[in-house]
Amino acid sequence: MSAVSARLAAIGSRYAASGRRPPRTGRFLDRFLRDHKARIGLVFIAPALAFLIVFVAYPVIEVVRLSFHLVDFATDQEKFVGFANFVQVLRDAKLGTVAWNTLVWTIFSLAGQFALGLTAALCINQRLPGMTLIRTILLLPYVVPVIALALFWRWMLDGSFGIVSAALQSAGAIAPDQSPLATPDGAMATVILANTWRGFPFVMISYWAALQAIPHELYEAASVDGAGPWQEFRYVTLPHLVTITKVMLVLRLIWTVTFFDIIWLITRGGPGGATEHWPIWIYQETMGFFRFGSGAALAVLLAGMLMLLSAVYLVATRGSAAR
Amino acid sequence: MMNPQARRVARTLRWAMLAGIAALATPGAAAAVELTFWTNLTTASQANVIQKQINECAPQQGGLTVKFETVPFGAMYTRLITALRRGEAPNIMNTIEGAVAFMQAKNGLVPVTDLIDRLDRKDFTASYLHAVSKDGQVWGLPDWALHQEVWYRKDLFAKAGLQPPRSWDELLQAAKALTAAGADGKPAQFGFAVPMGRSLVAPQTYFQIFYSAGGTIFDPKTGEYVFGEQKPLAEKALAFMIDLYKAASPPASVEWSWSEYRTAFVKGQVAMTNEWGAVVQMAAEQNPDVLIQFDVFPFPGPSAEKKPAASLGGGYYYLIGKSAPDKVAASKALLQCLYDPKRVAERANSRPIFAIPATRTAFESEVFQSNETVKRFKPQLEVIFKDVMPTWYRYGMEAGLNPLAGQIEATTFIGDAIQNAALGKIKVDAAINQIDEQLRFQVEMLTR
Repeated sequence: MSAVSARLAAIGSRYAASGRRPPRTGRFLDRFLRDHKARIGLVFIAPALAFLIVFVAYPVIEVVRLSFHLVDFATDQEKFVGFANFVQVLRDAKLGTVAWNTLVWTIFSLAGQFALGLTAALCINQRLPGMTLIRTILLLPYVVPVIALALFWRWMLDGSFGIVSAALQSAGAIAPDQSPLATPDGAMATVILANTWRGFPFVMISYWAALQAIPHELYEAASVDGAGPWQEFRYVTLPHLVTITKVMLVLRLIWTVTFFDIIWLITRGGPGGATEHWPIWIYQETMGFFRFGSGAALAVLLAGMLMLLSAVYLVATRGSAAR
Repeated sequence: MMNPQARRVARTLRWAMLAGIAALATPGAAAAVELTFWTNLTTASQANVIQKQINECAPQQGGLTVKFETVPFGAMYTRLITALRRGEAPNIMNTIEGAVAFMQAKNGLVPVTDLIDRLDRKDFTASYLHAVSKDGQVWGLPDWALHQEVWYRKDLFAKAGLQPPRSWDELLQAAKALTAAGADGKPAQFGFAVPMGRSLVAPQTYFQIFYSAGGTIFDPKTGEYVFGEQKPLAEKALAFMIDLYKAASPPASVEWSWSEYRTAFVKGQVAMTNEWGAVVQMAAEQNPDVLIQFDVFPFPGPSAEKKPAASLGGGYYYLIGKSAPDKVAASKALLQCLYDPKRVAERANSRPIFAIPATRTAFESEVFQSNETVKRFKPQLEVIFKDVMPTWYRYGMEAGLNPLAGQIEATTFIGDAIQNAALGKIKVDAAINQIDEQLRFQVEMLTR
């Protein structure tokens, strides 16, 4: 029995012995406020609590509220419309395309970032001369401003003057004067590649930190038992990376699905909507058509889907961990 | 009974009061007024000219103060929304026609019809007044014109023995003839750039062709939605655009924006392009030798027998925001001063050729005509002023102000349909059906 459970059981038996009912929440609060230490604690958390209420809770509540309203932004007039905004966006002809694009973008971006991040982490974990410099260089994509990155990719992929397009044209992979950005599949592949390039250092550095924490004795023991490099990786390294992978997967999933800048700056969701994902749709509804209610409905749907997905993932992985 | 000293004091006070009342009754009353003035023109050469002119005109109203601010187009709608919600919209705003429609639809403007009449209505190119008219009022003062025509290379036309095309078919044939293979068999030069960037550029290219054939979204006279009835014409225009793209435009131009096609024209990669005149300044900076070879013709209509019905254009306007009567009066007085023909010409000269005055007096003024770039492109400017600027529309604003124009520009539903048709993902008729459905939906939403 844990210490907390034991303490709760003791409190319960004390009330049972005295024949009194346990105090209700209000009385608990009274006692809490009378408690000097608790009051001090409250003072310490008050700034953070105020920050969260103003900058996190209020915007979220406001978005949910807006999703049920028709808003005239100029006059500030609002009309409650129930689920009409949700019905409108769910009936939109581009729902299927946008959802599919979001799925492709997310899955391939995550796969690319995790594969490249893990490989890079294993490389930089080696004790070789010049590794500090290599680690610094590998971190660069993460610190380059997105606008610079987007321009850099657009220039490289320009159909007439871009070095990557020229190479692809020479190899016969695309037609002369063609650019990967001008074809639906090429544009999606490009933005995924750019996002992989941009996001892998975060995965790399997280995995590297986890690798550093693996006791060296385990590798020595594995070696004594006759394990080769692959078996060491499979049976020593990988099990130690499970926890960090779980956390990063949830974080990167949320960040990737909601990442707007890179696609908007490289393709603007084109050509022909081939790279338009959910956040671009939200942006167009809100800042293009000025339909704040529909934009909010889309945001609520996305948040709902992400929460559901994260919950399913966490429950599933908790189950597997328990086994 | 008052003593002499008290009488003197009373007399002085009476005079002071009278002087105060007199001061309030004269134009000098504007001395206490502060105006906010926004412009979308953020480049120093353009903003500085406006600022200089404000500094010249404001003192004429007895010390009127003007808070001048450049607001980038990309941030303008967000800023306007915030300003409108707070009741702090700018008193004067210098922006394009789509924003005029936006502000008017939100009841944020006062009409400038009286000012237009005071300045002389006939001096303004009529099409620029038509675009910002609604309910019998004019809601913006046209400043300078945004104009679209075909810019081409005279030397390449001469080499191929071509004359400026007068019909779609002639244009297609000329574009094909100018698409030449290089030594390696790959195209070294393309006949015509057909840029189809998803946002803004695809609709601008398409509606240039559609308007040339006489199509419109709304009936210019009745204001009724007519795009749906004109589907055959709309399909014909899109089919021609795609034919032109496939026959004579770089494949990557399906996602080109302005900078790409202008660079291609200036560097000689394409022989013709549908353009706003910005290629002149770009060539002057990057490839000045080629400037002498630039010429223009209006985008032709479907047949040589008939002149193009209209082009896609636009313009920069001055708007007056709704506010207190004294601020509105001061704004009108300030704009009246800014509309001295020399000042209008000066503003257009801050980006020559791209900007052309929307008033005849400014166009013919010594200030405008003596500009070096204007002198160099005088024949081309005559063509634009006489054959292009008098008949233009902006999508959705064929019958006057309509906020649909702003929505078309800020979103991509037209660009998506066009790009998908060009990429062969959907057929031309399906693309037009998509555009029609979306336009109807947006019109319905705007009136909801």
